[in-house]
Amino acid sequence: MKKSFADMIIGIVLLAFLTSLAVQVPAIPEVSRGYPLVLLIISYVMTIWLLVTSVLKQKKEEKQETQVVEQVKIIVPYCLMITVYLVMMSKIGYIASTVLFMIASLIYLKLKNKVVLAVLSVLLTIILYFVFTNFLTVILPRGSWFNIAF
Amino acid sequence: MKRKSLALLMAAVMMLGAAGCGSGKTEEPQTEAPASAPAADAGTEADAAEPAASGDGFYAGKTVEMIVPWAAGGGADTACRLICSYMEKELGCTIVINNVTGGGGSIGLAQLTGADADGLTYAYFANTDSNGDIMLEGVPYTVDDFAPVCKFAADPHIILASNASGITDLDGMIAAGDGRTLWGIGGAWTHWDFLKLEFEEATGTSYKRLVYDGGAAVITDIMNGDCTVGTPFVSEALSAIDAGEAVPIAITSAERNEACPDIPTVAELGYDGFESTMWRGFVAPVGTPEEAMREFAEAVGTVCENTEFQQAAVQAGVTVDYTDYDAFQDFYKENHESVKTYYETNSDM
Amino acid sequence: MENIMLGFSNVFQLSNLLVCIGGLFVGVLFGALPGFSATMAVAIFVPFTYVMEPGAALLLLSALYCGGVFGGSIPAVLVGIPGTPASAPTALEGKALVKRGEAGRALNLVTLASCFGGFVSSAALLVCAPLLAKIAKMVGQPEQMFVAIFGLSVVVMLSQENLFKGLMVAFVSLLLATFGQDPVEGFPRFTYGLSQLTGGFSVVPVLIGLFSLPEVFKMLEDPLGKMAESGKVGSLKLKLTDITHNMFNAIRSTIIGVCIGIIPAAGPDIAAFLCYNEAKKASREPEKFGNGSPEGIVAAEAGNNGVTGGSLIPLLTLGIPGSAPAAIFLGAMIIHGVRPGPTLFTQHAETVYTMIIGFALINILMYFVGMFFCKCGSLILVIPKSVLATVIVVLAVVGTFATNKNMFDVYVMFGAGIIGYLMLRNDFPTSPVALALLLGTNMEKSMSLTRTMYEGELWMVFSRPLAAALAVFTVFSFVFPLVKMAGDRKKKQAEQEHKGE
Repeated sequence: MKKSFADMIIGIVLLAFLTSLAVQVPAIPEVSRGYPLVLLIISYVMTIWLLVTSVLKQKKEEKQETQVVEQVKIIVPYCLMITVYLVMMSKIGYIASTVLFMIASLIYLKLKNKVVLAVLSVLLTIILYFVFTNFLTVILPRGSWFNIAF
Repeated sequence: MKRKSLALLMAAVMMLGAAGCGSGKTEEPQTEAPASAPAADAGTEADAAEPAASGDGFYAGKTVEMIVPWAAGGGADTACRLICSYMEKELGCTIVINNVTGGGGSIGLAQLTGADADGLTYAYFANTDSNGDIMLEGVPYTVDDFAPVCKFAADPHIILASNASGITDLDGMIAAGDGRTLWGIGGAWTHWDFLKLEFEEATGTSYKRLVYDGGAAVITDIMNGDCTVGTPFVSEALSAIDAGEAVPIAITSAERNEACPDIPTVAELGYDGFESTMWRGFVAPVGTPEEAMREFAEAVGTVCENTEFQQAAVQAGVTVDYTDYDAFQDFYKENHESVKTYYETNSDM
Repeated sequence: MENIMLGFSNVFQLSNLLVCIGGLFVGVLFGALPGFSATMAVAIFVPFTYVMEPGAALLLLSALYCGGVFGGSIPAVLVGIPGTPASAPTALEGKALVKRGEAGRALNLVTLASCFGGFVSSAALLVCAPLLAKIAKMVGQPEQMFVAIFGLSVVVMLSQENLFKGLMVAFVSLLLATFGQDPVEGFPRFTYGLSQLTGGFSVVPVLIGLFSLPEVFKMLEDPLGKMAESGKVGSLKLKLTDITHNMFNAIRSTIIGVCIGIIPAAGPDIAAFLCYNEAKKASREPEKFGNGSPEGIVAAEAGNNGVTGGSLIPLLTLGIPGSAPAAIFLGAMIIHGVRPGPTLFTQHAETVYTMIIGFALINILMYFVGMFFCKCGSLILVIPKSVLATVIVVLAVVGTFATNKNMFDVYVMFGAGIIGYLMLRNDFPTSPVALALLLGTNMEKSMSLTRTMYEGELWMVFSRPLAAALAVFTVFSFVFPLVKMAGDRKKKQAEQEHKGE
């Protein structure tokens, strides 16, 4: 994978993002349109410049050895786990989802010691829940399917 | 292997230690009283600690969640915590203040409309909130999603002029209303904007709108003369007035304010019936049982009669003004329509 | 003077001392845990203080505030994750220090610098509050605008190696800062129809995600390893030269910190970046910055703790809060019937001097509490990365949720984390994002206000002495790094000529 290839992808994604913003500009009242518009134009110019240079570089640059594939293999599933954790938080409540996430995460990251794994997950969750609800009067997310609370 | 489990053990101990520190120390203020007890009476915390078992109504022994859509420590939060600490004693329940902030107040109110209508969830509400769906984008509620409960305060603004402007009274201010004098606003389409429109309508003047982020910024600029007039709340304005850094012109409530009895009202100075205050009240999700809301509103009424509460309110800059359940229903609708009209005719200035 | 003595005797009451120490412990803990911040510590404890004596209440809040601002630097040095945004510059240096086995010494140095900054700022509060209040009053919107632009100029210096990418990140982030209601009409811009975006992105969740999650993802690449394997803490002992070399640096940073504290729109985070930047400009070894420079961390930490006392000056003398936590102080003081403003020092002298003397004492006590935490904190390095990563994710989630109590912010935090990791892997610097988000909103606000004030005669802005001075600084601050870079390229000696600055 070439370094400039990544830059090229980033350039394209940014361009799409900027365009999604540009579409919304006409709706903004005139008094407060100028400032974001100027920023938008500068960002466009810089992104296009990045895109052009990365395409040009790509022809010259040599292929580099990277571990992108290995990294992706570890990180993408982990991000999915976090996403599931966040979504479940409003379904099964803070306690259940956090305990499950911690257990899953520690297993996924190959922690061998099962006792530490279980104790840490339950203990940290309970402590956090206790401190937040009782001392800091923060109501942590409650589940809509079921909820564990005390 | 041995070393690894040692490390893991250490990790666990540390977590415990850290949490222990946290909870151990937090206990210190905690033991003195519950989360939200009144100000200025550190001596009486003992009776505040246990909700009196006096209430045997719907709320006795229950936990009520009060959603405040603004940050802890701000004006709305201060007023809310103050009244709720007295409400706990009155209703015999626990009230948990939940500061759900973000989205210009719309996230907290959206959470309220999604809550169960069981009489155990209320939210703090003010002038412009019922028009959220018109003023903001993507707001999932309308005026009909709320069941209005009651109003407990109506905070007047003090019209201040900068020393540099040479304006010393209302006549001078009206004379300066030629469309070029700068009028500081504490935030776009908050009550400050509506007050300006109402004032201009009543006096036939016009001023140039200068939108700041919060009342403190307006006062700073009035002090250094960058901004000519502004309309901060009483609690914000008093230190500047005491220091002689700004000139008080008039107060916008119908009657003079206890905290600053020397400042005349706009109505007194020749504009009969002029009144423009930022009111604070409570709403529940639509469908909440009426008996529960009535009991809640009555408790608010009793607290508002309490002299101890009234004193604390003056100190906190809250002007107590109670409207009961029945009267508030009409008030809520009228207010909604009036805000809507002003907004629709003026929002594209 | 009488009141000062009274303040002394109040502070040294056992109950008040306990309040200070307790507040410091909790504050440092809040600062040190990723996802928890100084502002949050103060905000969460405000309700507790309603039942305390006014003096004790203000001491507790002060201790939380000072502790929180300092606490962020511990994880910043050890794991490269700033506990609060104010320690972001410190985190740039952390990793390399651990690798070289100098983390212990760095922690001690950071603690010392923080206490120094905090202590001097409280002395400023005691001695020259009235004078500084005059300056605070001169800071209007045009001045704030230049301060914001000045703050942004740090980007140029921070991303010298990759100026183009740094600037690009800054501009796109400034654009992100315009999301939400515009400052004049309150029209919700760029919300994609989401009501949650009406107020724009809240900065804290974005920064939590941006700074902590990328480090978590890096840990995942080798989950069974320990941080300790890539380096060690080393001794906590300081050398005499550490102090002598950094003395001037710490004094300069503290002064900048106090001044930034006075200005309403900028807080400890901006001060830390500015001080770091100035230290880099003044340093004899600027190439060490980013590779574990003790000068960098001393500057950042002395600077951000200098803000603590500075931000209380306009609050106490004029009733104008100089930072987010100071705004919460204001709420607490009003509830206690202690209204800040000119009358404060006459009507409530006892309370105020208790607070100011306490503030100084808190910063001294902070050294001992801080060293205790540094010793405990060093154990982080022996925890397996798998455990550390999991715990950080859980803390970041709960901390973000507790900030605004809404799930949307948690998703924003997570998204910012992923983007931050991608940026890191592709050599896009992340600190410009922090600067742009922290300054962007204020910059637009003060620009639009200045424009309305001076409609049609914008050049009149330069008739304000402070604004004109700041404008000159700003221009200089943008040009200096560029000139220096050009000079470096031509000849190495060029560095010597600019050393004076």
